[in-house]
Amino acid sequence: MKHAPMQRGWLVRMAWRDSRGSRTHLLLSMAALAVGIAALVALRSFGERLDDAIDQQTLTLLGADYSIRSLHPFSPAVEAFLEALPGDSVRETRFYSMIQFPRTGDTRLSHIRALDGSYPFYGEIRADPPEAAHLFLSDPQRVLIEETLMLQFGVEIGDPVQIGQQTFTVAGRLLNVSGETPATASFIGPRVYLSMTALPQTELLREGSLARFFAHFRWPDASARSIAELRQQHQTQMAELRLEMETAEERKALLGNALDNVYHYLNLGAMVALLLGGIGCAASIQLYARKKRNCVAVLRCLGTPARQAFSIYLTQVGVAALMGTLIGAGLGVALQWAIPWILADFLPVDIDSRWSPAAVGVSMLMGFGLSMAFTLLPLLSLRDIPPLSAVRDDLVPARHAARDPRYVVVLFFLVAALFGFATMHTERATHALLVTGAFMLVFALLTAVARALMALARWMLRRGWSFAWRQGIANIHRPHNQTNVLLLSLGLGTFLLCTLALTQQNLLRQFTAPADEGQPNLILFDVQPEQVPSVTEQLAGKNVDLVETTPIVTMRLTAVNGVRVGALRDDPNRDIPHWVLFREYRTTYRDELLDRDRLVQGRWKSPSSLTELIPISIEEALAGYLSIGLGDRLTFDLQGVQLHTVVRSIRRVDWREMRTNFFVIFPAGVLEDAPQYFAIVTRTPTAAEAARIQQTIIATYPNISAFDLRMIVESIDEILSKAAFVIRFMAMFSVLTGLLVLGSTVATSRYDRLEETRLMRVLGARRAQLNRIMSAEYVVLGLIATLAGLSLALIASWSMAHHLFQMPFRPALAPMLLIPAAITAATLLVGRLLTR
Amino acid sequence: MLKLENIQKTFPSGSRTITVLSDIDLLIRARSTVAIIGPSGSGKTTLLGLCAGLDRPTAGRVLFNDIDLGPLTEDQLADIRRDQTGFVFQTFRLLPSLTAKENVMIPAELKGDPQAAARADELLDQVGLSERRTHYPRQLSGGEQQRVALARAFINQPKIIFADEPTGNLDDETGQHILDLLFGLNRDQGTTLMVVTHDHALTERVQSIVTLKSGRIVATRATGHR
Repeated sequence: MKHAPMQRGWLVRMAWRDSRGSRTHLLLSMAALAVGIAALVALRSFGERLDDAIDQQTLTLLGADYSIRSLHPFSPAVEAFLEALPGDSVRETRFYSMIQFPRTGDTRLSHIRALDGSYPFYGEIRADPPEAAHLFLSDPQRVLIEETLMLQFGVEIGDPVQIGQQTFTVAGRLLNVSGETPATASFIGPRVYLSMTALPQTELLREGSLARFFAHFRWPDASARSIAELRQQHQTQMAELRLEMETAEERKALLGNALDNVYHYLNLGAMVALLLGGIGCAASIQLYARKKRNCVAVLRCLGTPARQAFSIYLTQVGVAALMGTLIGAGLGVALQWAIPWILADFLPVDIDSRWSPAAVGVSMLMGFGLSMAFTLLPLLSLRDIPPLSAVRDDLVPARHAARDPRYVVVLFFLVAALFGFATMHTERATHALLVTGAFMLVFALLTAVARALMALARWMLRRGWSFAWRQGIANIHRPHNQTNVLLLSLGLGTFLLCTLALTQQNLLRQFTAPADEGQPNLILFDVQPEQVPSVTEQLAGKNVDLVETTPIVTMRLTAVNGVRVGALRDDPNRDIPHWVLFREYRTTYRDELLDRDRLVQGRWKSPSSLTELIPISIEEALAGYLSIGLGDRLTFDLQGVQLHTVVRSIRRVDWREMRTNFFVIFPAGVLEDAPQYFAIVTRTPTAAEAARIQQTIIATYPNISAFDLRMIVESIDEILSKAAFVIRFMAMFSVLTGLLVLGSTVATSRYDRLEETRLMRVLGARRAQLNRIMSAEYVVLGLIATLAGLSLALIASWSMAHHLFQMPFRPALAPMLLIPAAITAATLLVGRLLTR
Repeated sequence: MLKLENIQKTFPSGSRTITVLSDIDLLIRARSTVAIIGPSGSGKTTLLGLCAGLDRPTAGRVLFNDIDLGPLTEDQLADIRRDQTGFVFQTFRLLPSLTAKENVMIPAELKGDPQAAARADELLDQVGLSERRTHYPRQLSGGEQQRVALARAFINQPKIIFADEPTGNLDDETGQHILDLLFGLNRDQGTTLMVVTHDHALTERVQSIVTLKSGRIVATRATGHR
């Protein structure tokens, strides 16, 4: 017997003819997918441009070929060392200090940057007017002040500004500095640039002041290798001089990691949108396949082999998916112009407006592949339709898809595609496995909820209910129901949105809680010992709670159990972070530990004689980094004096507390005569009172810095709000995709419902009754889906709070109420609009 | 032409097995016209499905032109349906997205016949629908749809036509017209006809009538028609 070969021409013709009347459906099925692909295309294209920009603008990230920094003013020995290094150099001193605007009396903690030459070497300081970017260097009486600070206090160019003991004139507005991100550069204090020659007149830098000293180098002939060799060559000397070096390449790597995290997060959003789109496609194609059962049966009856009949619909869906991919790619290319604008506050480099054909191509391929994997599952059912069903469908025995090896293969392919997709985005197999597992778990749970809901709907139906409620609830479990599809799409959408909202609110609460709960909110730093009585007296005269006055003594770690820190650093068997060994330790001394010092090991001990080792208390994490415990010995250098100590207790410190927290606490009787300054922790009742105190104190003692918690919370809130905008932007794709999934599902399934509706009308049902039936169904589905999504979101947010952010989880009520309500209302609205 | 030997057909129904047909022996000669009649649920449509190779018997053999359909693959059965059989359904079963002509062309196109379009035009002309060839099924009346279905059934000049209640959805006058066409085409092309029906007007025009009851053949009689 001769088989007719698969006729491709006829197949395509047939697919085209048969698609008449269904083309809008098919395209609508792909609308959600198009949104997902748009997100993917936009982000991948943006990601490539970001990589290019970082590569091309590496030098502007640091502004120099390399920089040397120290926590101390450069000594003559350091100056001699720096003079011998290759390249031109510029010195910079950075520290935080209060500045005051005499015209208004306002004060603000600011980030002071004093330069002795034009820096950055690569990139620029952008200012308004542009010449103000360098005017402060030629005229030491002028300063450049961050625009946001000027806007905050209504300061104009030419206004006076008091920095320490010196009054300057505002030369211009600082708009941005190459290599710095606007959102975080002025986190604690806005930037203020002045000339190095004017710095001594401010009288702000004293012994022990919190400042950093830089020497930036331009070495045009250098390569990354020669700079690495330079570091290698001088490593020992720099360690001895307590200098640290940073190169442009290192800054690039650091930034690359940070931006990679942002990029991966955003990609996760795109991935979610694409997966939701895939589910939408699958749901819609399932309904489409159901509609086409009769056609396939007839074609089979007329002699079309199963494979050929299936290929007709595979061709249709493939073409539709291709169209959806192309539309999505077009949208994505358009959208990618917007992403640099959305992320502007987080980007330290300028992104150009090119689009990357390779990124678009890869995204399209991924999107198309994933959509075909999703649609193959429902389409496969068309292969199983026997020709007999054209004659009598009830004679055809039901098939169990789960037992069909083809379904198992497609399912495996789908999970593999999901894993491959996740791997491409997270670039780590373990993360990809986690993401794939999490998605499968959420799908499985939502599917289980859908099944439970169907069983419940069947069980709970009661005769006494109104006709509309009985019909509406029955629609949840009847054949052709939308329970599974809606539970998945709405549940997943709610899950994502609620997780994002709950996590954001929880993070923000950590910073706002102290201000709300009677905790300290104004900390005065750099208070000199002789200033303490006077400042305390001034504070006592105002409506201020004086919480604690803490002495601070700075010192360096020199040895652990007799082993020098340099040797510890070079020991290949140890992996102690550089900062642990070489940081400037700000310590305090006390008679007794405070109530909030939580001892986890040992007990607080005072020295019994001056000859023995000094008993100290160290922080738990520090003990972990140094791999030390009770009885181990630490040696500190305090202005050349070696302090030999022994660990007698280990404390747990909550670094989120807005107080003075310490890695190392000494007992009283040891450090009293050492050079020190004080931190005074207070609580002020209002923001206005805090501002008044700052004005009064700063007017008398310009060297004192005030950390106003309210202002810091405002800064955090501002950054989180900007980050939240980015998060919402990505979540928008999920919501939009979810709504499109909902729309396409309802639109495609309305053909099933239309027949029922017509029958109901024939049997005498009024329009209002039909509306009530539909409302009952969608309200229940919307509520259950969103509640399931919310429950999963609570688990995910709790898990993130505990394991990722390590903070207590207190769910915010507003998103828990608003998001499910809004999604349920949207479901009802879309359902009503499309079934009218 | 078609020979059924000791056919039995059962269906699982939950934990039970329902016997729909048993002890069926039937011989249908080439160019003959046969009507299968019987009460609802007697197994008429199941028998038609087995004869047409749409389904497989639980026991027994179906021989089509001396070929045992039992061992054939699904694709081989599809080839037989395409090349040697034609179908007419009670509910017409036209593909809604295809025009009348495109519906008629399907079996010929499946066969790779380059004359498919010309043959479809010719047949549509024969059934009196040459003016409606570009119309979609929803734009045609029930009678017109069934005429399109007749044209489709005959386009490959099949050896046998299987018809399942071809007048069941039509009024008497239209039904009569359809039967005229069916028997006319059948006669012109020398085709065998096997038809499941309740329609007395139809049974009066066939050469033999097979009566089924509870899944068994209870009577076979010749009507004397030629």
